[in-house]
Amino acid sequence: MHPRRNLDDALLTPLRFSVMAALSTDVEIDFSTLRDLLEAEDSALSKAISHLNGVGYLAVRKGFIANRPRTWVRATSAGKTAMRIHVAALQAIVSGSGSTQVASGDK
Amino acid sequence: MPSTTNLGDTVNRDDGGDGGDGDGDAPDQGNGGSHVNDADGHEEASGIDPATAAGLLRTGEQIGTRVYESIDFRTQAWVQSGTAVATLVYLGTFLALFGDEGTNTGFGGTNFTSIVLIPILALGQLSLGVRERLKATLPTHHSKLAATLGLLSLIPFICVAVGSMAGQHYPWWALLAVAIVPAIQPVTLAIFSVRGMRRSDIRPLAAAPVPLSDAGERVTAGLGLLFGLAAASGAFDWRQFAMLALMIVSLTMLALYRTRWGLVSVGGEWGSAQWSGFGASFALLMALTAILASVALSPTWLGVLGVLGGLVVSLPLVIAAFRRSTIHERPEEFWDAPTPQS
Repeated sequence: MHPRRNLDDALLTPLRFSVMAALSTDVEIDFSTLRDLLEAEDSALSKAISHLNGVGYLAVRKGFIANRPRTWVRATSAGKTAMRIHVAALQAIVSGSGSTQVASGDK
Repeated sequence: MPSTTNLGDTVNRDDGGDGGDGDGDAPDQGNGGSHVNDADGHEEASGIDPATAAGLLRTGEQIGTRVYESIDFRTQAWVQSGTAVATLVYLGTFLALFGDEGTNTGFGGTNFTSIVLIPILALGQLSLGVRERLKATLPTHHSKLAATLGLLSLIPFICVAVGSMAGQHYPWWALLAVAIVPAIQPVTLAIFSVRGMRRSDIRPLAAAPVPLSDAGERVTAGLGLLFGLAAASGAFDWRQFAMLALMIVSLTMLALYRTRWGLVSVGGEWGSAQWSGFGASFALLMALTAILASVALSPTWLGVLGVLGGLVVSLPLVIAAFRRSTIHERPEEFWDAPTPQS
């Protein structure tokens, strides 16, 4: 099986991939920090988070700090698994192997 | 080859077949953009060549590193250390009120345990506010194992508490040992954070001290008064009714924790001045409760001691409510997520 078949549709855009890369270390991060780290625009990042949340890869939490609304995001276990498989597929593409065995059993 | 130094070029667009709404004027992607089809993800998949894949992997690694560098291990270590100490003090006081042979049995030590419960419940939410103020937090590794160990560590505490309710008395060293066991977990977490802190470059910024928000001031002062009233109520025969009312107030406050007036939000505003005030009020409340439970005085003098003690308990936090604070990150720095438009 060609490794590209293990690529995850939800992670194909660079922004969504970057969001998951940022959150794959088990970190919970607030929206504005994530935006700054990724050097992304508010609206684009908001849409990416909304999409990833919709497919169950992200958990979004809202609250207030000092009277101001804040949003935090973290990767779900499904999101972390999907990211591992996606990264394995990218690594297989880089190495030029014809098949991906890495993590394919996790999905 | 994608850019690996300017992440913005690489990630500043989320397409995903939404017709480009809201991001139509975003710069073109740097990661081999010729392969990207905005409307169909499968086309993108088939277009990822080894160079593009390598670029994405590099970008992912860079982002992971930058996220890790943004974690404020120092503040996390402070929070966990403070929680460990407060847990130790609370459990020690709790067990002393239950089972210490010197407890004033005429008043019944168990009646005082709800007094010392209020500040520890408040601390849980306030410290959550500090963690949420941080840009990025790293949850505990092996969180299920940590939770299991945390619950197991409470078993000796529960056994001694039940034994005390049944009239069993324990020597002070046994109570201290039982109080220490549940504090091991937060102490361990603090040690891990201190180790992470050594690798962290984040240092507190020299921000100008600012006052708390109106809500922050009122809730902080109200919390101080609540502590004072709770501590003072231990001196009176009607303390059970007073404690019932205070517990209702406390539980209402705790239930509203996610609101603007909630303790999580207020804890996120607190700086060193407020935390010092809280620590002083917390310690004074524990000390006064232990004294009131064990001292043998006439009801009049006990009442005087309670009222004066309650004032002393509330003062540090009430004063701190109106002091300026310096915290690592100002909430004004943050913008929240806009509502996504589809």
